[in-house]
Amino acid sequence: MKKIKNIVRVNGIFFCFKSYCSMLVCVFCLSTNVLKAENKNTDKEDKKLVIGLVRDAHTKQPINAAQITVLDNSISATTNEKGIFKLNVRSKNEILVVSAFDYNVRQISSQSKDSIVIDLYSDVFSNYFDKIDVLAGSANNLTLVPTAKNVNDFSKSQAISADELLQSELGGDVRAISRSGVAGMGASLFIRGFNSLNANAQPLFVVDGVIMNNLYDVESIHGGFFSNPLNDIDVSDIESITVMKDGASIYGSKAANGVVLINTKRGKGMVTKITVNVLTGRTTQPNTIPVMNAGEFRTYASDLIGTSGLTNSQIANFSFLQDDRSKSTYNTYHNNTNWANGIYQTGVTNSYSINAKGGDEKALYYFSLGYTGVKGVVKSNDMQRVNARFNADFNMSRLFAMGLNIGFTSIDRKLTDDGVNSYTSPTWLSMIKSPYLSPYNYTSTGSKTSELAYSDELGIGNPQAIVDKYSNLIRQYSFNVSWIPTFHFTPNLTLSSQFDFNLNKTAEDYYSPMFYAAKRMIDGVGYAENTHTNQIMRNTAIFDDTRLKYTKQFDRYNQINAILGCRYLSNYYESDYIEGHNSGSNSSTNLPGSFDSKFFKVIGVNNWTKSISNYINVDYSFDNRYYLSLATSVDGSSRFGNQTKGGFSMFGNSWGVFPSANAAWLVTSEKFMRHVEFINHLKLRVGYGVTGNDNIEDYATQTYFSTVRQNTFDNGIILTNIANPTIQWETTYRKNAGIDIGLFNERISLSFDYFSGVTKNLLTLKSQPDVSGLGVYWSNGGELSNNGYEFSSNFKLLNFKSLKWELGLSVGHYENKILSLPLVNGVTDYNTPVYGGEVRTAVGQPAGVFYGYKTNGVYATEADAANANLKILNQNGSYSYFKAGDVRFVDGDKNGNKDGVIDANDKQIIGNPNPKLYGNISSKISYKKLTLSTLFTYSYGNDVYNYQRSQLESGTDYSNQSTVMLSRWTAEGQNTSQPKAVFGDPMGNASFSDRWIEDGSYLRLKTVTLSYAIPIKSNFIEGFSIWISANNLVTFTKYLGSDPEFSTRNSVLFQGVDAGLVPLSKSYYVGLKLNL
Amino acid sequence: MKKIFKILIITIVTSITIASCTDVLDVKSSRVTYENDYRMSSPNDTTYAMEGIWHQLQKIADNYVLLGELRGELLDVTENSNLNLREINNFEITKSNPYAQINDYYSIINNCNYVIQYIDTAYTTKGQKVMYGYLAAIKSIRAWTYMQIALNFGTVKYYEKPILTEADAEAVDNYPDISMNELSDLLIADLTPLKDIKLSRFLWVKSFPIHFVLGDLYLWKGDGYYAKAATEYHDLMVADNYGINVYQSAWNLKNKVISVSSGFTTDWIYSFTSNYGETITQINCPTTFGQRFDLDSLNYNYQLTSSTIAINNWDTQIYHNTALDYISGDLRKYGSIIDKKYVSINNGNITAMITPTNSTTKNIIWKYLAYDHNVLVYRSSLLYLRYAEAVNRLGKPNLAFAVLKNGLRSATMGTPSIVPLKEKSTEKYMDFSDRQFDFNVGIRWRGLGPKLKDPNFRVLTLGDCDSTFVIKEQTGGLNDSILYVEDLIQKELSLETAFEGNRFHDLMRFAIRRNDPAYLADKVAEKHPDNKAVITEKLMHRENWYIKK
Repeated sequence: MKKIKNIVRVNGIFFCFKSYCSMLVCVFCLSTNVLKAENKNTDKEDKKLVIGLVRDAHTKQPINAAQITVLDNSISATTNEKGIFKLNVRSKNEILVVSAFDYNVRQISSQSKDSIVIDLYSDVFSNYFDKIDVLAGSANNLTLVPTAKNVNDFSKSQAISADELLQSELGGDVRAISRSGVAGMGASLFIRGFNSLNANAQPLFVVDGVIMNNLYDVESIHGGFFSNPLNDIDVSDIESITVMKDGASIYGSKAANGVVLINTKRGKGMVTKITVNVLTGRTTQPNTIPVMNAGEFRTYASDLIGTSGLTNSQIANFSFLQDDRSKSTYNTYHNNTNWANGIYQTGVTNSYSINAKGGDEKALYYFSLGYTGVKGVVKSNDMQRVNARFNADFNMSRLFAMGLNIGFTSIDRKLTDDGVNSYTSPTWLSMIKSPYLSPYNYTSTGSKTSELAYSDELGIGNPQAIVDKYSNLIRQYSFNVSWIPTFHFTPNLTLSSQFDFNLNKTAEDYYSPMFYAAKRMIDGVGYAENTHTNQIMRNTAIFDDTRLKYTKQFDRYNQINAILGCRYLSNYYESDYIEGHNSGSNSSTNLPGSFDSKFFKVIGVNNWTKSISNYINVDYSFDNRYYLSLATSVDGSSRFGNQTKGGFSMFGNSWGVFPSANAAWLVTSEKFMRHVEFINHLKLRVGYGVTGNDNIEDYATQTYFSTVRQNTFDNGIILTNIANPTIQWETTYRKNAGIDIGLFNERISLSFDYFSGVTKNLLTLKSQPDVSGLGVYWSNGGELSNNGYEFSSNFKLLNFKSLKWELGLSVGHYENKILSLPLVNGVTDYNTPVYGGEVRTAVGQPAGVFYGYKTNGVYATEADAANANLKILNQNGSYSYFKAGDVRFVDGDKNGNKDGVIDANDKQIIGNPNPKLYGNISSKISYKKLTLSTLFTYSYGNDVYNYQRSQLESGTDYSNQSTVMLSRWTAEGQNTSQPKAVFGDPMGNASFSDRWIEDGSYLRLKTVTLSYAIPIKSNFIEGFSIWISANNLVTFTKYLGSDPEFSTRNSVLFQGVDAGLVPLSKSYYVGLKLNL
Repeated sequence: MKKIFKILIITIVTSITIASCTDVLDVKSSRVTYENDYRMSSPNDTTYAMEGIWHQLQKIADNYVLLGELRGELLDVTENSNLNLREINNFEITKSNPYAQINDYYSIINNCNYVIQYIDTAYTTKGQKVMYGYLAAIKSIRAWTYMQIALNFGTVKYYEKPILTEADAEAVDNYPDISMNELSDLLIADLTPLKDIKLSRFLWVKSFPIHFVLGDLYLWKGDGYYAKAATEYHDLMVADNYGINVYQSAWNLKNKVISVSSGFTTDWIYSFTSNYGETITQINCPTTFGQRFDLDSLNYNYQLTSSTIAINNWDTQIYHNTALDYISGDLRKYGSIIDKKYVSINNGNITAMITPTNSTTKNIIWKYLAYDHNVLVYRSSLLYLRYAEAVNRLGKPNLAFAVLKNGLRSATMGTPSIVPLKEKSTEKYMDFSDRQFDFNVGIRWRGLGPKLKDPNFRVLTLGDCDSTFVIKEQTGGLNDSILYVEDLIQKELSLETAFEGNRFHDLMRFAIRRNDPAYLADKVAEKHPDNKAVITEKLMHRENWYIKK
């Protein structure tokens, strides 16, 4: 056993090295050959004069005073009134950077030409040649080696948190799925497929250089709510967001899911600039699945009572069945209430922010204040956010500079439970509550009062009372401060260190009142009438990133940028939770004093994680043609065991090595491209990288004991974990090949990337030997792959003087496949229960596929049913046969054996939540000062498990049903797709089957924005624009649920499950932006 | 260029060195206790460990009752019962059955092993070596748990050192499987040196007296060990003053007629409610702070009921066989079961009407309601019945019979018509002369309902109790008498200790002792009228008595 392990281990390391080394060797050979070949020629010519003409792309008129520089700004020139410039370049392959007021920057290779004509486009268009913030600092998009995508225009955004922007701006590059219609909830993000099964699959967020804990596994005590740390950053403070998809190895063991860099604004020039943003918006009531009215429901409920096995006298006790007008309860049970009206309202969003930047030679600053207030579309739901940020850069001396970042955000929310929850979610209750009841009580004489009614005789609470009586709060604070001292030893060598302290605190309080919400059974404890829970969470992070930076242009061809660094992150997370039930009244609700000790619960978590990363990144470029980027990090973490298979051991810890190599060839810099005029830029990229996912459980490598309660108030200590010294990170090996191309005078730019990744050492649960008494433990095993492509394009369709039209299209595609899984109890494949359904994790399948029964309609007649002769095994060992009106389940196990019994063997894969394609289409038309931006987002080929509909069409209890249930089977011979309604569903007609799986494809007009820059000529006001915007106006989809875009949780196995969270709805905004 | 590389190399080496000091990556948690910080380093640690072990015991409390009774003939499933209960009832327990998770048992053993490894027995306070009490308590819990594994799963992996790493776990997993008999030897050797240690109040009732566990182990060993078993049980009676005397049920006679509807008291039921003197060992099963205990809700939801066999057992007992006062029935029925309709639930608390009734439509188990979030494992009646089982096999059927009918006290022992001279001997376990035994009565006598508390009614004398209940002279001599009395003891266990969790293992022990699987198979199959042949066939093979691992 031991020997085999060793071999595996050696092989593992060897493999890493082998692939890395071979790549290094290849790249090295390539570059040295080139070096040799070129040396002969280049020595002859020292400097070369380039003469150029800069003109407007549309009018072809020369542009006066355009700036021409080279990439490192070492030489520059300015055009004269005829648009002519002359520049002495060092290399004949110099890249010229041309900029002019009101125009976009353009970069162009001189391609050994003596003269050159450069057309510039108006800055109304998006700018391909922008600077882009990447891991090693600011870089040039044209010469960038790894795949990175960038967003940097947020001026007309109504997004509350940054992840919402990723979807709209980078649709094909990041699969971003909005979580729900609640403000600031953000999105689940997946970059290049699912790179994990059980660990975090969300990208790493790096905010101003600091790793942010995304709290992905933190559960709120409020149903359907997510704590989204990105909501702590005001969008108007963001300078740029960059998505790094490969070459991220300097973030080694944290980078397997991609890296999202968010940089906030900083003072850049000495001119004081003040910007004011104001917006107000209205959000309409969302679409919900239509439910039965009072008459329809009364018929349904009385049908169902007939199947419930109650005696006639028991049935006679139901008040709603009594139609005697003289009875005092008649009015109570004869309303026609649209419960949704009492729950939803028009949402209101108001947001104000002001920021100022400026400074002098000694110091530059950026300061901002913001307020966002949201009144939710669900009553009693609101949010207030106050944020402040101060970023400063002090130039102490020629040698020493100091950066300072301070951020503070406070968020207060009121909210109710969301999603399918039959006790306390007002949105859900408003769908299932009997429409013949009223929210208010009636007196004994039958007149309506204003007091809210209690839960009804069918055991369903009063949604209106719940929105009125709830007082659920979340208060979040986040604070961070960073110092960034920088020493410039020589012009080439810089040492900087970023030290950051970050505090996040969340306090949650939840109360579900008695009487208004129905009693609930708590398994193994008893009935709970009211519930009070409280949770305090605190995350404290100390971060340091020390870097030695070396930049050198050796001669006119060879340039190197090297970074050597060490990063340290200590993250401490603590949460304390307390729960009480049955205080006996709605007025006495103190925790812990008022509540029944039998139901009392106090739990908590302390997780402390430390990680260290030593990294090196070397970017080398040769003659603006060949680029090489090598990075390696050596990572250790308190979560890793000290006997890992994939790492090496040093100082008693295990260290993982994460190398990557990327190379690019800027083909358009080559001499032979000088005559291919229609191609303006062409870059080929390849890369290979190893990254890791260190999101494994804390303390798994330790043997430890935990506290338990015994005999009500005694504390006991029991062994809860035994050391697993082999546990390690998940490792992702990813290859990438890409092409960037600009055509027809940069009218068209295209970018295509193919990637192929394998993730090994997947984190999996394994069974302990029985004798340890501990059940299961986390271990590494199993592999999955993600292959796919991303394509994005930009077309400058019209470029007239006043009218300009730009179109963008992006497409993303991935194929996820599980390659192997470890044997646990003799099997590899397993099912995970999700919301009444099952998700299968099986070798050869993608992650997250739905696993259930196939169906084939409903038996119309008894004869049909008798012919099929199918049955189910009851709990008591007897069999029940399917009858007319039951669902026709498909019999046959995976080998096609039909045994006549519908049971777990007949389950099969019935849906795949992974889309075939996703992305967006954007259009921007501007006419003079008016700009119309339109954005479509789409997802194609993804299946959805409509859990919400499965509950509204189950026909098993007294909850109100969707109107589709009006066509349920009721009589012999009736051909319908809806089975009969039977109390308790003894035949399992509503069990998880393809009845609930739908095509979730959609095309959505996500936003339309019309903005107008008001031409004010004033010394005081620099710019003033107003805009109006509409969201989610039109959605083309066959999906039967409220909305095809949702994400119940951000973990991989929960994708494509519609748990009925508040859907996105149409919203309208007006905003103005003032620059002073 | 070279210089640059030198700088790079030097810095990378330094940064790795600085960053990689061994403790830089060490993390601590105030929520958990690391193994190397624990190790019973303070006396309090032992107390916390003890509480932890009790917490773990709660996990197998449901198992103890359900595996012990549903596989027997007295407790039955209903139409409400879930699949897990049906599996147990039909001897088809699957791996996923939550009531048969072997690792729940081993987790207790591993925690016990850890404490035993590190407990500081030299620690003294007020001149007392208090830690010996803990050691005794923990070793007896470990022994009892091992015994449960062996009885339910057939064999055990025996280990005494704690498993603290995955490697340890794999090593122990490769240990040989040992049988109940081999296990008994190991446990007897382990427990015997500690058997006379007095337990403190803190450990009282919540731990398993070593005498009782030893007695059981000897009883399972069988021939040659009955005297040792009898001695252990007797020692426990003396040491902790356990008798059969307090809670007596009674029929009321009104105008010389017994009225069933209102005419009885059932004080007997108090003998097994918590915190009364007859409780020897109970497992506390609170549901506070999210702890699980299923028995209450299973019972309340009518997922468990008494079998018709159990009811018949009680109904066919004859209390007083005279023309005047003849009445059939056993008052213990009313302390054991209750119609569900007399039980209600308020705010999660189950309340039952204290007056038992004779209605038998949907019976649930009264005893479980009386347990009140505890599971009773050992109590006085069981101790005396086990003693009877041992002495009977020592060739003293009359003495054993007296446990049922007369009660062991000096008066009984001195009456040759009850305990004949040939059964009297000088062993310590024959000594009932102490005053503490003077109030002992027969288990059957008090449970059936002999005594009348109300002076207005006729007081029956002891001799009046069921004159048909006698030890018959058997034609086959002593051996036949022993078998006859053993049957009576077996029957008495079903009347007195029904549903308490020991039934199936008692039947196993009798069947093994008689080398007669049918003794168990026939009785249990009786509960499955529709499936009798299958169950009989299954239980004729001893390997099917155990849960497949």
